[in-house]
Amino acid sequence: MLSLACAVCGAGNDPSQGSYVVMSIVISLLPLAMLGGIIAWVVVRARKADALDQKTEDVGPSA
Amino acid sequence: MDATLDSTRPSAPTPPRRRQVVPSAVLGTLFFVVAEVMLFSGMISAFTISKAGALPGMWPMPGQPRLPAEATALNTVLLVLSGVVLLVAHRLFKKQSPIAHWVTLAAWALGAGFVALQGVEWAQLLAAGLTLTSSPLGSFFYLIVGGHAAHAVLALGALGWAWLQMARGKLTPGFFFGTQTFWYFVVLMWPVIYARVYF
Repeated sequence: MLSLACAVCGAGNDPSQGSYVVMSIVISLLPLAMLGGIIAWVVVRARKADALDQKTEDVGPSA
Repeated sequence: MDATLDSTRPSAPTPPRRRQVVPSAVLGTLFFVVAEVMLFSGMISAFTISKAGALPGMWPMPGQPRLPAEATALNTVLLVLSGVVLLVAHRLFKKQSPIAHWVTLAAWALGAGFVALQGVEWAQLLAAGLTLTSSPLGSFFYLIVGGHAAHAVLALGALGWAWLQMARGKLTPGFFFGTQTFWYFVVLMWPVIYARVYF
Protein backbone atom coordinates (compact mmCIF):
# COMPACT_ATOMS: atom_id res chain seq x y z
CA MET A 1 0.00 0.00 0.00
CA LEU A 2 2.96 2.31 0.59
CA SER A 3 3.86 2.10 -3.07
CA LEU A 4 0.28 3.00 -3.99
CA ALA A 5 0.30 6.07 -1.80
CA CYS A 6 3.75 7.31 -2.73
CA ALA A 7 4.38 8.24 -6.33
CA VAL A 8 8.12 8.49 -5.81
CA CYS A 9 8.62 5.02 -4.28
CA GLY A 10 9.99 3.87 -7.61
CA ALA A 11 12.45 6.79 -7.69
CA GLY A 12 15.44 4.61 -8.46
CA ASN A 13 14.15 3.36 -11.80
CA ASP A 14 15.57 4.43 -15.15
CA PRO A 15 12.73 6.74 -16.34
CA SER A 16 12.97 8.61 -13.07
CA GLN A 17 16.72 9.11 -13.39
CA GLY A 18 16.29 10.28 -16.98
CA SER A 19 13.64 12.77 -15.86
CA TYR A 20 16.00 14.16 -13.20
CA VAL A 21 18.70 14.75 -15.80
CA VAL A 22 16.37 16.28 -18.40
CA MET A 23 14.56 18.55 -15.95
CA SER A 24 17.87 19.65 -14.38
CA ILE A 25 19.09 20.71 -17.83
CA VAL A 26 15.81 22.49 -18.61
CA ILE A 27 15.71 24.38 -15.31
CA SER A 28 19.41 25.34 -15.60
CA LEU A 29 19.18 26.68 -19.15
CA LEU A 30 15.70 28.24 -19.12
CA PRO A 31 16.51 31.38 -17.05
CA LEU A 32 19.66 32.00 -19.08
CA ALA A 33 17.72 31.67 -22.33
CA MET A 34 14.91 33.97 -21.15
CA LEU A 35 17.21 36.70 -19.80
CA GLY A 36 19.43 36.41 -22.88
CA GLY A 37 16.34 36.76 -25.07
CA ILE A 38 15.19 39.89 -23.21
CA ILE A 39 18.66 41.49 -23.42
CA ALA A 40 18.93 40.66 -27.14
CA TRP A 41 15.45 42.10 -27.78
CA VAL A 42 16.28 45.36 -25.95
CA VAL A 43 19.59 45.67 -27.84
CA VAL A 44 17.85 45.14 -31.21
CA ARG A 45 15.21 47.76 -30.37
CA ALA A 46 17.87 50.21 -29.21
CA ARG A 47 19.84 49.76 -32.45
CA LYS A 48 16.71 50.23 -34.54
CA ALA A 49 15.87 53.43 -32.61
CA ASP A 50 19.45 54.67 -33.06
CA ALA A 51 19.26 54.03 -36.78
CA LEU A 52 15.96 55.90 -36.94
CA ASP A 53 17.44 58.86 -35.00
CA GLN A 54 20.43 58.94 -37.33
CA LYS A 55 18.12 58.94 -40.33
CA THR A 56 16.11 61.84 -38.86
CA GLU A 57 19.30 63.85 -38.16
CA ASP A 58 20.55 63.25 -41.72
CA VAL A 59 17.30 64.54 -43.18
CA GLY A 60 17.44 67.56 -40.88
CA PRO A 61 14.96 69.14 -38.44
CA SER A 62 13.24 71.28 -41.10
CA ALA A 63 12.17 68.24 -43.12
CA MET B 1 25.14 93.60 -14.59
CA ASP B 2 24.94 90.26 -12.93
CA ALA B 3 26.46 87.60 -15.11
CA THR B 4 23.68 85.19 -14.29
CA LEU B 5 21.11 87.53 -15.84
CA ASP B 6 23.11 88.16 -19.01
CA SER B 7 20.93 86.87 -21.85
CA THR B 8 23.81 87.09 -24.33
CA ARG B 9 25.80 84.49 -22.41
CA PRO B 10 25.86 81.16 -24.24
CA SER B 11 23.71 78.64 -22.45
CA ALA B 12 25.12 75.37 -21.12
CA PRO B 13 24.79 72.43 -23.53
CA THR B 14 21.54 70.62 -22.96
CA PRO B 15 21.90 66.94 -22.03
CA PRO B 16 20.85 64.50 -24.77
CA ARG B 17 17.18 63.55 -24.59
CA ARG B 18 16.72 60.14 -22.96
CA ARG B 19 14.84 57.86 -25.30
CA GLN B 20 12.72 54.99 -23.95
CA VAL B 21 13.56 51.92 -26.01
CA VAL B 22 11.16 49.60 -24.17
CA PRO B 23 8.24 50.85 -22.04
CA SER B 24 8.99 50.42 -18.34
CA ALA B 25 5.71 48.53 -17.86
CA VAL B 26 6.72 45.97 -20.49
CA LEU B 27 10.23 45.49 -19.09
CA GLY B 28 8.94 45.18 -15.52
CA THR B 29 6.28 42.68 -16.61
CA LEU B 30 8.87 40.70 -18.57
CA PHE B 31 11.06 40.27 -15.47
CA PHE B 32 7.99 39.26 -13.46
CA VAL B 33 7.09 36.77 -16.20
CA VAL B 34 10.62 35.28 -16.10
CA ALA B 35 10.19 34.66 -12.36
CA GLU B 36 6.74 33.13 -12.91
CA VAL B 37 8.00 30.88 -15.72
CA MET B 38 10.63 29.55 -13.33
CA LEU B 39 7.93 28.95 -10.70
CA PHE B 40 5.93 26.85 -13.16
CA SER B 41 9.09 25.14 -14.41
CA GLY B 42 9.87 24.02 -10.88
CA MET B 43 6.37 22.63 -10.39
CA ILE B 44 6.31 20.91 -13.80
CA SER B 45 9.77 19.49 -13.10
CA ALA B 46 8.62 18.01 -9.79
CA PHE B 47 5.51 16.62 -11.49
CA THR B 48 7.52 15.04 -14.33
CA ILE B 49 9.97 13.36 -11.95
CA SER B 50 7.18 12.09 -9.67
CA LYS B 51 5.24 10.72 -12.63
CA ALA B 52 8.33 9.01 -14.07
CA GLY B 53 9.02 7.43 -10.67
CA ALA B 54 5.53 6.01 -10.24
CA LEU B 55 5.21 2.26 -10.36
CA PRO B 56 3.63 0.78 -13.52
CA GLY B 57 -0.16 1.25 -13.56
CA MET B 58 -0.03 3.58 -10.57
CA TRP B 59 -0.39 6.90 -12.43
CA PRO B 60 -3.12 7.87 -11.96
CA MET B 61 -3.72 5.78 -8.88
CA PRO B 62 -6.43 3.10 -9.13
CA GLY B 63 -9.86 4.54 -8.35
CA GLN B 64 -8.87 8.05 -9.32
CA PRO B 65 -10.45 9.74 -12.37
CA ARG B 66 -8.45 10.46 -15.50
CA LEU B 67 -7.99 14.08 -16.49
CA PRO B 68 -10.39 15.18 -19.28
CA ALA B 69 -7.76 15.93 -21.93
CA GLU B 70 -10.27 16.03 -24.82
CA ALA B 71 -12.65 18.46 -23.12
CA THR B 72 -9.76 20.66 -22.08
CA ALA B 73 -8.65 20.93 -25.71
CA LEU B 74 -11.64 23.27 -26.23
CA ASN B 75 -10.48 25.48 -23.35
CA THR B 76 -7.01 25.51 -24.88
CA VAL B 77 -8.39 26.65 -28.23
CA LEU B 78 -10.33 29.46 -26.49
CA LEU B 79 -7.23 30.69 -24.69
CA VAL B 80 -4.97 30.57 -27.74
CA LEU B 81 -7.66 32.35 -29.74
CA SER B 82 -7.85 35.10 -27.13
CA GLY B 83 -4.10 35.63 -27.55
CA VAL B 84 -4.50 35.94 -31.32
CA VAL B 85 -7.42 38.36 -30.94
CA LEU B 86 -5.36 40.46 -28.50
CA LEU B 87 -2.60 40.66 -31.12
CA VAL B 88 -5.17 42.06 -33.56
CA ALA B 89 -6.33 44.50 -30.86
CA HIS B 90 -2.71 45.61 -30.41
CA ARG B 91 -2.38 46.45 -34.11
CA LEU B 92 -5.72 48.27 -34.12
CA PHE B 93 -4.75 50.24 -31.00
CA LYS B 94 -1.49 51.34 -32.65
CA LYS B 95 -3.50 52.56 -35.64
CA GLN B 96 -5.89 54.32 -33.22
CA SER B 97 -8.80 52.37 -34.65
CA PRO B 98 -12.18 53.08 -33.00
CA ILE B 99 -12.97 49.35 -32.81
CA ALA B 100 -9.75 48.48 -30.90
CA HIS B 101 -11.55 48.39 -27.55
CA TRP B 102 -14.24 46.02 -28.87
CA VAL B 103 -11.58 43.63 -30.12
CA THR B 104 -9.84 43.87 -26.72
CA LEU B 105 -13.17 43.04 -25.08
CA ALA B 106 -13.51 39.99 -27.36
CA ALA B 107 -10.06 38.80 -26.25
CA TRP B 108 -11.10 39.31 -22.62
CA ALA B 109 -14.34 37.36 -23.18
CA LEU B 110 -12.46 34.42 -24.70
CA GLY B 111 -10.07 34.42 -21.73
CA ALA B 112 -13.00 34.59 -19.32
CA GLY B 113 -14.58 31.65 -21.16
CA PHE B 114 -11.40 29.65 -20.59
CA VAL B 115 -11.43 30.38 -16.85
CA ALA B 116 -15.16 29.55 -16.60
CA LEU B 117 -14.74 26.21 -18.39
CA GLN B 118 -11.78 25.38 -16.17
CA GLY B 119 -14.02 26.04 -13.18
CA VAL B 120 -16.64 23.62 -14.54
CA GLU B 121 -13.93 21.00 -15.10
CA TRP B 122 -12.65 21.40 -11.54
CA ALA B 123 -16.16 20.96 -10.16
CA GLN B 124 -16.57 17.72 -12.15
CA LEU B 125 -13.16 16.39 -11.04
CA LEU B 126 -13.87 17.21 -7.40
CA ALA B 127 -17.21 15.41 -7.67
CA ALA B 128 -15.41 12.41 -9.22
CA GLY B 129 -13.07 12.21 -6.22
CA LEU B 130 -9.92 13.97 -7.44
CA THR B 131 -8.97 16.34 -4.62
CA LEU B 132 -5.84 18.06 -3.41
CA THR B 133 -5.12 15.20 -1.01
CA SER B 134 -6.59 12.19 -2.87
CA SER B 135 -3.41 11.35 -4.82
CA PRO B 136 -0.12 12.86 -6.03
CA LEU B 137 -1.82 13.56 -9.38
CA GLY B 138 -4.56 15.51 -7.59
CA SER B 139 -2.01 17.50 -5.59
CA PHE B 140 0.04 18.42 -8.65
CA PHE B 141 -3.04 19.07 -10.77
CA TYR B 142 -4.59 21.60 -8.41
CA LEU B 143 -1.22 23.19 -7.65
CA ILE B 144 -0.09 23.67 -11.25
CA VAL B 145 -3.44 24.23 -12.98
CA GLY B 146 -4.69 26.27 -10.01
CA GLY B 147 -1.57 28.43 -10.12
CA HIS B 148 -2.17 29.05 -13.80
CA ALA B 149 -5.83 29.85 -13.17
CA ALA B 150 -4.82 32.40 -10.49
CA HIS B 151 -2.52 34.09 -13.01
CA ALA B 152 -5.28 34.01 -15.63
CA VAL B 153 -7.74 35.72 -13.25
CA LEU B 154 -5.14 38.37 -12.37
CA ALA B 155 -4.37 38.97 -16.06
CA LEU B 156 -8.10 39.17 -16.85
CA GLY B 157 -8.42 41.88 -14.20
CA ALA B 158 -5.58 43.86 -15.78
CA LEU B 159 -6.97 43.33 -19.28
CA GLY B 160 -10.45 44.39 -18.14
CA TRP B 161 -9.00 47.57 -16.63
CA ALA B 162 -7.07 48.22 -19.87
CA TRP B 163 -10.30 47.79 -21.85
CA LEU B 164 -12.14 50.23 -19.56
CA GLN B 165 -9.40 52.83 -19.92
CA MET B 166 -9.30 52.29 -23.69
CA ALA B 167 -13.06 52.80 -23.95
CA ARG B 168 -12.65 56.07 -21.98
CA GLY B 169 -9.79 57.14 -24.24
CA LYS B 170 -7.35 57.25 -21.31
CA LEU B 171 -5.26 54.14 -21.94
CA THR B 172 -1.51 54.64 -22.15
CA PRO B 173 0.39 52.41 -24.62
CA GLY B 174 2.83 51.37 -21.86
CA PHE B 175 0.08 49.96 -19.64
CA PHE B 176 -1.61 48.20 -22.54
CA PHE B 177 1.63 46.60 -23.76
CA GLY B 178 2.52 45.56 -20.20
CA THR B 179 -0.91 43.95 -19.80
CA GLN B 180 -0.52 42.22 -23.15
CA THR B 181 2.87 40.84 -22.09
CA PHE B 182 1.27 39.29 -19.00
CA TRP B 183 -1.65 37.88 -21.00
CA TYR B 184 0.70 36.31 -23.57
CA PHE B 185 2.52 34.64 -20.69
CA VAL B 186 -0.80 33.15 -19.52
CA VAL B 187 -1.61 32.05 -23.08
CA LEU B 188 1.79 30.54 -23.91
CA MET B 189 2.28 28.85 -20.54
CA TRP B 190 -0.96 26.93 -20.84
CA PRO B 191 -0.12 24.59 -23.79
CA VAL B 192 3.03 23.52 -21.91
CA ILE B 193 1.00 22.76 -18.79
CA TYR B 194 -1.69 21.03 -20.84
CA ALA B 195 0.81 18.82 -22.67
CA ARG B 196 2.71 17.87 -19.50
CA VAL B 197 -0.10 17.44 -16.96
CA TYR B 198 -3.03 16.10 -19.00
CA PHE B 199 -1.19 13.40 -20.98
